[in-house]
Amino acid sequence: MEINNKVIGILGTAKNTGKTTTFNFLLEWSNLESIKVGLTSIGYDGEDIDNITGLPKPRIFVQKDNTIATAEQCLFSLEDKIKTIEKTDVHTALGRVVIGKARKEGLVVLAGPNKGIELQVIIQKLKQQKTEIILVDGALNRMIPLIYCDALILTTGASRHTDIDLLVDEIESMSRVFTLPLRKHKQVSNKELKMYQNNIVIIQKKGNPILLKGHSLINQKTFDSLINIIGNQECEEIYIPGIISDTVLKKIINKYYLLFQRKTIIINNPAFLLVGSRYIGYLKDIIDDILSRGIKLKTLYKLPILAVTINPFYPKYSRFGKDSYEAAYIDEEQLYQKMKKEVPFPVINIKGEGSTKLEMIIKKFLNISIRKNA
Amino acid sequence: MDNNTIRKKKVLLIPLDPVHDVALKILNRKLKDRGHKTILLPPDLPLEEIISRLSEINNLDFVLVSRTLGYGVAELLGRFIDMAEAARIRDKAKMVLGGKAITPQLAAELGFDKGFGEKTDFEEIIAYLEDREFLREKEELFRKKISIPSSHTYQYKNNRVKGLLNEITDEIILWSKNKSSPGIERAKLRERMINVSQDDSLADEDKVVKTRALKKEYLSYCDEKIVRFYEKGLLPEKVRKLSSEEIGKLNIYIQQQKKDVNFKKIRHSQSLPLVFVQYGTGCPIMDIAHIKTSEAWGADGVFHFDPSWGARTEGLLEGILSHEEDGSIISWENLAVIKSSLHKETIWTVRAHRGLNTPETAVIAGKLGADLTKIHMVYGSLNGGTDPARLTIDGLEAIKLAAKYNMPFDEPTNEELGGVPAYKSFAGLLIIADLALKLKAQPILKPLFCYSPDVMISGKMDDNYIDFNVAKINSLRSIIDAPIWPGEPIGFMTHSEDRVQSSLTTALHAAIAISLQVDAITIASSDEAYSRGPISLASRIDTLRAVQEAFRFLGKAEIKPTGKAREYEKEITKGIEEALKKVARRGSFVDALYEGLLGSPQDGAYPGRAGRGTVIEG
Repeated sequence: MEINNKVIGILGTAKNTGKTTTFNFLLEWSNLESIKVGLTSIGYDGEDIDNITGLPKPRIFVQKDNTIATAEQCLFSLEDKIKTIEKTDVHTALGRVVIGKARKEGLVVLAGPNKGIELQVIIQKLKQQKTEIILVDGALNRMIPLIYCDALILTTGASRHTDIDLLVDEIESMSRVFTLPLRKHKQVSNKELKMYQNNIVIIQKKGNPILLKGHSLINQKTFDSLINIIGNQECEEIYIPGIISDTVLKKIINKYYLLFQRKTIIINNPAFLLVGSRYIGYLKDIIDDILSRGIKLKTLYKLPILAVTINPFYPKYSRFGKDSYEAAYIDEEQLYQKMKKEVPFPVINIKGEGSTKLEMIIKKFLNISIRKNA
Repeated sequence: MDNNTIRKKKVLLIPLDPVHDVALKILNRKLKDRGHKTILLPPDLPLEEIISRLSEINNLDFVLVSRTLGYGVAELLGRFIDMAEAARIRDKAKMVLGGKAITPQLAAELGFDKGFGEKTDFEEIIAYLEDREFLREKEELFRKKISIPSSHTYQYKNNRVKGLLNEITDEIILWSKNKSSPGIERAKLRERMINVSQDDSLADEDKVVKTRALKKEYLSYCDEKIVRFYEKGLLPEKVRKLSSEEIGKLNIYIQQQKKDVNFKKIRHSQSLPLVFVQYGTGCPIMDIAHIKTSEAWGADGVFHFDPSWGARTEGLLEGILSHEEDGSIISWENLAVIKSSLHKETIWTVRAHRGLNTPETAVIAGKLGADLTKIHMVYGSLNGGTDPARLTIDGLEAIKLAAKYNMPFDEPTNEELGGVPAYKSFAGLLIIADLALKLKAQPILKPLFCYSPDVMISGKMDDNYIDFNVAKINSLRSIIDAPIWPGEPIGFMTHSEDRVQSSLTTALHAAIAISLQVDAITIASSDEAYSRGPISLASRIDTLRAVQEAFRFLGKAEIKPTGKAREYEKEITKGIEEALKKVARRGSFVDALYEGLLGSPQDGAYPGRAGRGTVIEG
């Protein structure tokens, strides 16, 4: 039985929310199950001390034959541990990304491609090494490069904020965005729509699509031109290939909802809506308001969320301590219960009982139960 | 690369900080000066607006973001990078981050293409934007070995002093005729032994035979302590040989330390003074760590400090040796391994100056290619513990060797620390300098910048440390155009066990030296006076950093002394003349030393006893 060669990305809401802990769990599990694993990161992971807080961080421990993609400078003095397979043309702040294979077990630091197009290149190169699963560790709250993964695991925790309700609101908003419906094919196909990268596209009931200068809906000028067109034309759909900001959405809700009623706003992918929001936690209310005003929201690409992992840890600024930050925790059980109640995805405390749950989810996703039964 | 051949870039500069946009403004100016097209955004714009503006600019090559890091800022930058990617800005432009606490690792974590920390040279950023290699302004430009005497004529400006010195040094040369000493004989034998070992025309067995014969003769001029070592392998107390494992690791360490050093530039807009530090922890490994650290933090030169018992012992040991107390043992092998660790532009001084091995040390230093040596018979015999007659003859030989091996030498007037007044120590200093000039050597005058017993008693520094130090330099300059290198170390007797205080007084004394544009200074580590053992590297860096700040602070400005300086200067010059007159009138330099004309027991100077009666006549 072949395992689907899937790419799983770990997306966090902030630093220290448990991305690497989740990543490490999947890495260990893959190795235990003898699934050929490829690893990379869109940030910088596996360092012993946090770049900002100076607190210890989870290290990344690879097994023999694990394939990794990391920057040249992270491989310094690891020649005996990592065999270089290819030096790619993908550059990072720490030099070129190198594809390597572990000659033996040991610690590594991962600093991979920092943008989506380059992550795609690296994923292809990892796949050439006959990996069966590829794990991409996220960085901070960054999400855009991860849209090239096949599925995501969201991580959040007290490091983002110590207010549990705020954490739940954010994940709820993210869930709402990631579960927006896919646009169905119409007279202008999805394939065709995807070709428009530099223009906002206004699809009329009749006639050719109208193109608007600019790909994002984040400033007044573009918004004014859009209003101008849809006020005068009979249009059905508006496709925004770039970012759409929460400010613009609020304007639509408050002032222009009649103009947008019964129309569909199409976003390229969920993450482009998320990065446009200054406060992600409010986005669920904004979406509710949009929908309640008869405006539809759809996406061209969809990305499944496998689970949400939670982490009660946060670095607390210690004014009088020897170091600037110290480790602190919020109420774990409360965080878990509230999150579970509001979020439609499995919620997992990666350090608690949840690990077997995550195993089952991943197995299902990779379609490997059959192998076990065979 | 010629500026005209570089493709001009379009660069957008974003101060994401509410206030800290100075660096970007400077960079903006520099980029414009080089013909690049730049757009500097106002500080603290919302991300949406920045992204909007970015989307509207065509053919953008670089986006430079400056932001001081704090908690939560990373997420802000993370969102910015995400927005830039979603808005397709990253398809065309490279994203660069600069600011406090930014490292390449952090830039990678944040998803930027490049990161520059707070202390980055603007030229490094420009080189990156222009896609050319950045040649750090390091050894190529500011680490240049220069010859200290080269900018001086050695012309006298005071003819009375010139005449007196001529009389005195003629007498010394005459006195020295047909005299030798065990030290001089050993130096000659050492030179022959080195020549044999380096003679490629000789077969190995011949080398062994010849060396054995020379060594036998060498030992006839050595103390029992040294003979015991060569004949029975017994090392003096508290001395041990480094093991081959230690030496192997030391060599690896040296190779590692030579790789990719980011040298600090210690001087600011000035070309002088050069900055020297002394090493002599006792152990060559620690010495090398000190040397490599000092080089990296901007020291121009280092000098070797040997144990005081070595100066009172006839003969030198061999091998790579570690000494449990202060002072690193002078042996060919010790000096050779230290020499091998030096950066090519580091000025290396091996001091020969004060003891029974003065000429032999000069031979080893010369053969190993030392840049400078140190010789001073007056200090060595009045405060260094060596018999005046013996050191005069040995010093004379050492000066000849210094001339032969093209090593300028400095003359430290540390007898001032014992209590000898500055003018008297300067009289001695000038005598040796004049003698050196007659022997075609290049002397470097080394007055002290110190709070000496004499000024404490006379009250000349009751108000400030500036007037008297300035007076000393000006007095010497009024007599002869010779290189001047205040030592040793500057600020002597003003230091305390407080590292901040010590660093500060060192830096302030450096400021006087900078203002006077003397040729060089020697600085102590901030724990040198009170370390009660080997000095620490952190303290070593303290004063190098402090002095670097003094250079930055002063630039080409000057320190203005009070009218007292001129008064003291006249007093010193007059004192020098008086002292020289007395020595000349005495008609014998050596006797003048014994009799205290250049420093008496009342002053705190005592003619040394080591090597008394060992001058060989005929």
